[in-house]
Amino acid sequence: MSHTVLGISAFYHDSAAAIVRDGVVIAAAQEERFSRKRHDARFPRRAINYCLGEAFIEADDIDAVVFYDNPLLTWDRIVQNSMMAGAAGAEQFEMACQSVLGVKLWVDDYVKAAIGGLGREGRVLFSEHHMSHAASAFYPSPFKEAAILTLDGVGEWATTTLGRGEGARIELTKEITYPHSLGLLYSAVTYFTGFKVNSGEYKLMGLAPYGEPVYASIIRDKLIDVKPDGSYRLNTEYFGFIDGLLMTNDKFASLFGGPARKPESRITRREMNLAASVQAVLEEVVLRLCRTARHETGCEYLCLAGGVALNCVSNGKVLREGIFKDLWIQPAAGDAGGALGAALLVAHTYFDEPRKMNPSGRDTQQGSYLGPAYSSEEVGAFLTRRGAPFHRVSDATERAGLLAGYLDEGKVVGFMSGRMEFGPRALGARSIIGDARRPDTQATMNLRIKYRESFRPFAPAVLPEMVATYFELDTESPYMLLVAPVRKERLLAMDSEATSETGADDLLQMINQPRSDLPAITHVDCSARVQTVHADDHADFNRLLKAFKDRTGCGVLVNTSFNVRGEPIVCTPQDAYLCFMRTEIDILVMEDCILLKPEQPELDDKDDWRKTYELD
Amino acid sequence: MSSTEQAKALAVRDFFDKELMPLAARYKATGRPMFATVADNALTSYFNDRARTVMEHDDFILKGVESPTAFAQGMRDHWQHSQFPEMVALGATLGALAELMRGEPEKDEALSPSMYVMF
Repeated sequence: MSHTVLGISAFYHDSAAAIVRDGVVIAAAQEERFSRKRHDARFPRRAINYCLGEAFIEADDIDAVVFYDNPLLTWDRIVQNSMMAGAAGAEQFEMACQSVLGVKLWVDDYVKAAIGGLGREGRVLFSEHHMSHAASAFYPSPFKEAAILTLDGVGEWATTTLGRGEGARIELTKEITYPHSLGLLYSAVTYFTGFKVNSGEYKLMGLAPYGEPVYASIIRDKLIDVKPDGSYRLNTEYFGFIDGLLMTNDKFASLFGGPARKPESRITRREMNLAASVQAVLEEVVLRLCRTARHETGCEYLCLAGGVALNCVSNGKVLREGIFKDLWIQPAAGDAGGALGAALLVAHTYFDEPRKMNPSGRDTQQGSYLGPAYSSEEVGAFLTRRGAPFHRVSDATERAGLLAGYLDEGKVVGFMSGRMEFGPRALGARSIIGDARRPDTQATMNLRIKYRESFRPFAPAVLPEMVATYFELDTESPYMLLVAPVRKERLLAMDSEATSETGADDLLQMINQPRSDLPAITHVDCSARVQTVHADDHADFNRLLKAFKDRTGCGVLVNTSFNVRGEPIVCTPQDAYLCFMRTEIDILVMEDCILLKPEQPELDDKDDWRKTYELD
Repeated sequence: MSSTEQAKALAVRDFFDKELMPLAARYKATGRPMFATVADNALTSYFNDRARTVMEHDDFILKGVESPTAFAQGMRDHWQHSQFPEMVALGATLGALAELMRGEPEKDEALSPSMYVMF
């Protein structure tokens, strides 16, 4: 008997919906892509509507709806936390009551309001937060059997869990619980270094290579006690999250020479060193946890999920350490992926659907291209209605050759092709693409397109068969979740004034110093966060890389998300066209329609769109 | 602040002052913290064994989200089997508090840039 399961994650970070039929993922998407509100945590009714449409079903056809988290266990944590905080925790408790008792407990109401019912089961099912993460990592992986490690800020009580998956069974045996959390430690330093908690963690990771881990010993001595098996405890005296509304407190600040950096103010050597230090400690803990997972489970492969699994620098080190033969990381490793994990868990354990492996030996995440696509006809109709001139180049090989030529000339291309990505990274379906060889690509894409100055390099998309030509990596990295060194022979001699080792504090001067023959994607530590593009996952993007390689000899392109700073990644042709017209992207490709900027009529843009999006 | 919002704030404060804090004081007096807050050199590991290691069919059915009354009962059942069974007493007023707090769907909460979202 066939079963269709709708998975939902909401109310905490990026809300999302996923639909699974007979254990196979049909669709998954984050609400932010439809609502156009970045990290939208509201109930994902737009994403649910999309998922139902993609599965060609009505709400009545859903067998079960599952929520990714158990709100009663979360409430238990909130109450116990308030009792530990004492009188100082009154304000936090009031906010928690409004949030949980007011809204987050009543998932049934939201589901009924969104789809008019609760599915054939007649009730919403509830998973556990880290079970949802574990399921999102194990079920789509290519492994029949694997150790599972989940790491995040907190979900219900758990912050870290360890277990194993085999066939359709997932067992999580050990855990570390709140308030002891590697994710919360990293978020605390994210806050203290002036970045936004819940989104700026990625920036902190990108800042780390500029610094030296001079504070690592203070972090180990004062903030976190780590046992040989990787289990850990925070010293909560230094943190503000138990009884306050900030991640850190004065005692924390006293360890690091003064108050937190004000957001958007100049980044100093202290922030660089703090980033390097917490990154070093995080990597130590993760490596120890991985060794324990290997020892406890006896498994040769590892699956990772939870927000900490988006730390691609740490992931790269886990791979290179060789503790496991291979690892697989859920590309939507944060809470959005919980929707997918919960749906898969219900399919396999509630409905006893057998787990289906990919006969090719690759994963079943489908490249994470699980969102909406727009046909050539739909794109053409939109552009015609909009009065936007375009050229239809239906032959895919001819189109790839044409685009490769534009890229070789230094043009920047907005690339919308196929189903939108599920997860925070743009992987070629909603990407901005440029030439990684050009020294000016990074500055052009940052200043004229993203409207930001960034100390982080862009990511390289590379042909899988050429990954070892450019990077010290000999495996696929289809989801941009592994950082690897650029090969030594590609590195350039450095201007000593622009290296982090000299103590210079000008991040932009440092990042703009070419470090390899692929300057746009090489970080200051000569690493890159690699995406391999397999033809089975995204034929058009793979074809473009091949055409660029045939033309230039270079099998690498810059790939960054198709958005401006603060904007969710584009979803529809309308989103893509507006982003194209509001920025200095030279060429827009939407399926087989190619738009050249000089041919476009002036945009009648009454919105002050730069104020529309809150800066990230 | 509207009168409804004032009533909610008062009820939350009452619950905090008259239910939570006295119970917290009793636990503190008997040396039973809800959780550890510092390192323990005597331990060789900070891992806990999970109470539930797999999700079986019935584990997906959560009792306590249907109504405020069910919620209060669900928490009482949970606390009864927890390390802190005295918390069951909180259930007496929890249902009424949940009833009062229950809001309208689609409330738009902004994420704080200074705090991890955990409640």
